[in-house]
Amino acid sequence: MPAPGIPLAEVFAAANSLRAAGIIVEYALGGALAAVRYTEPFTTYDADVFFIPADTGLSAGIPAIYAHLEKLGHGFEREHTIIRGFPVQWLATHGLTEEAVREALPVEFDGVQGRIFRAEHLVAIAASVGRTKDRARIEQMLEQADLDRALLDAILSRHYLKLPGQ
Amino acid sequence: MTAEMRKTLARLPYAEKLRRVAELIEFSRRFKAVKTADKTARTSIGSRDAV
Repeated sequence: MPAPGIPLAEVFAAANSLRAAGIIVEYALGGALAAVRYTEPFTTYDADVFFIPADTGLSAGIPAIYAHLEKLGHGFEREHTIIRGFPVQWLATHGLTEEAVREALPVEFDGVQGRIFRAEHLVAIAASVGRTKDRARIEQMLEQADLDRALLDAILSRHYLKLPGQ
Repeated sequence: MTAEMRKTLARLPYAEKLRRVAELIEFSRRFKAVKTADKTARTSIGSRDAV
């Protein structure tokens, strides 16, 4: 049974440890948990950590990531690692997501330094994926987040993307 | 909830918003557990009736 609360400090600590070990180059929190930084709270069941792999092979260093996290005492459940009872997915970046990691913002949570996607990149990534829930997230972000529209337009244009209805 | 109320929630500190996300997850788990228990009870009553 997962412990109460979202263990974001532990997730950042695990990612920092992977970076310090040279297994990943850089990382940032993306997905719904990152979006909540800019919007009202809503339910999500996992944390998505995007990383620039040190290993550029097909596996993107995933086996080494899992082995390292296992050594730190974290568990596994299908494609997720389980950090203090909370599922965490490690996603290798490319193109837009790699740019989002490189330009992510530093944050501190419970005394642990971490990195989180900018709101503009979250909107652009949602536009690139385009599922119903992504379109809903775009609408929510446009309504609630303080977006830098010039930055968002530049990202969308650079990656040949459009917002729904544009 | 009005759009204005949702915007107010969006301006809460991140840690507070994550605390509320955790509450929503817990509520959702409990709701799912109750629903599953209810479904199991109905199935077992249905089975008994069938016998």
